[in-house]
Amino acid sequence: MAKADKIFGILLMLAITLLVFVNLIIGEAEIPNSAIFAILGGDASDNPVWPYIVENRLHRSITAVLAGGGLAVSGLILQVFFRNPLAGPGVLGVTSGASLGVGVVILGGISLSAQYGAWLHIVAGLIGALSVLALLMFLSQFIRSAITLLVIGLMLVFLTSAIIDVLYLWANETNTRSFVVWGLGSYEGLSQLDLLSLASFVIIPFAGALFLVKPLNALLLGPDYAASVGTKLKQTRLLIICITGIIAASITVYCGPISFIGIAVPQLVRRIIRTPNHAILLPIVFLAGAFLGISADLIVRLTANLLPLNTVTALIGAPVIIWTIIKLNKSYAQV
Amino acid sequence: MLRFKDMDIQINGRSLVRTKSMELGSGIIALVGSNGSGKSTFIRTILGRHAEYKGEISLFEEPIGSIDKNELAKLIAVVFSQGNVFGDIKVRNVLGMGRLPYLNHFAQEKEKDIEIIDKVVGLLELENLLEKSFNHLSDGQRQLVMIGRALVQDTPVILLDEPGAFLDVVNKHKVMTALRKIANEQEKIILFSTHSFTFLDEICDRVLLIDKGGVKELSPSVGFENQVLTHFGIIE
Repeated sequence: MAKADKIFGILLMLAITLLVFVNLIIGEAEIPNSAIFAILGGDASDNPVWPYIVENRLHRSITAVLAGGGLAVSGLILQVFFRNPLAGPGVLGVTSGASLGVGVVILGGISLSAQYGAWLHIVAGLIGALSVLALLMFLSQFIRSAITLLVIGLMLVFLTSAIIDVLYLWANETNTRSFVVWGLGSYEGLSQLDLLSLASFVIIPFAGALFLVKPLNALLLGPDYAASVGTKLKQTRLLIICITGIIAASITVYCGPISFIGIAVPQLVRRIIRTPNHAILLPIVFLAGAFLGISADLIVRLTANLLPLNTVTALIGAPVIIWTIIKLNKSYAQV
Repeated sequence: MLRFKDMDIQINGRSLVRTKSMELGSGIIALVGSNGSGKSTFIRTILGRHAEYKGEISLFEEPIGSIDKNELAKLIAVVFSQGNVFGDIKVRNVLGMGRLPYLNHFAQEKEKDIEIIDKVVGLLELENLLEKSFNHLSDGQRQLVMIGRALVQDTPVILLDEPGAFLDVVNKHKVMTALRKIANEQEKIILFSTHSFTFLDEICDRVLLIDKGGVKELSPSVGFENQVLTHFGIIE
């Protein structure tokens, strides 16, 4: 691991820790810093409401770190697999697949906090995300052009949102409202159990992704060369579907369909560190995604939660993507 | 030793290339034949990427179908007619990809890997390219790097599928000379398919002609180029 990459990783970790603290300290409720540290240390505080608020802020920060990191890693893997710098869980329709699953459940009247609600949401989200991914991977065997595949992914985004529009016909006002609010994206409101479940759905597949280090490195040369250096293509494809699908689906279930982080972060990281080794890229991209995830949330909180999360990620992410498209012809494989 | 016995490579049940018995040892072997004659499929079959064939293809007495993918990667390396890498990757790192079958899960290069890469860099004189981005190289440079990558893989067999297809005469000459140099210095089976016959006599030890579904070995006593051109009726 090159020294510069290490320093970059450490800087990201420090920045994330700093932002988590900032997120704990600021907020609508004014809590003295001393009380915050006392609560984090496990001591009682003057105001019985404060521990609850601090716990909420802490959960929200951890959620932001997990969601940002998870989406970025999922984007990195998909970009390498599809050999396309514009791929990502959002663009390819994976998030939309999860949204459709969640939509069926919420519009059907089962909220996340209902009995077995969380599990129903996760299963539905997973089914949606994995079906879209499996369909894309199947089609990618026949479609050589990366742009064509992206267009198919975008069509799947439109298709799922159209199906959701149809579902609105049967939903009542309350359910429709709660689904629309979910769609704006937010790291807010996860219980300890939700957080634990999100953490395991992000961290376990991420650990599994470490088995993809060699295949991902090899895939940079394209599938034919990858096979010639020992990559088992079918097995790799299956592992990629499961890992990216589970990560993207669980984050979508708990935080809504968050756009742009998954596609923009791998781009930015590749500009900063030039190693092609995914043993370094995977953790660094996770950290960078976590950093962007929590930065975006800080902006949301600074506007007193008036700006939706997806508005902020779009404001940051869209310029990065436009910049990527301009650079595309120069540095990337022909699309 | 690459051995073929009663081999019949098929596509959708239709026979494409057949040979009763053939053995390939170290040296440079060219594979010629018209478009669609099955040269690429023949190469993909040896690589274990085309599974529809009858008979036996064995490498060092072991059927290629039964060799583990990672082990096969330590025996056979390949160069295709075009190489595109995804992203802005340095030539040094592209060469390093050839070591993947030997590396641990985290793809860490050990001293021995670095030694092998350095040796190939010296052999093909790639020193000035190492820090350059692969996708910014000319077609000829890219192809030399991909041949270097195959050498880094340190296999007894190297297959090349029309390595000169997108190269001009000068670059084609460079690539062919490099292959001859490798064959002279290392005992390898180098099998390449080609449409250009001008280099055949200069660099090849053997020439195989795929025609009408059969593999015919050309005699080395008469010029290879003349025989091929006569066979296709281009010269009398």
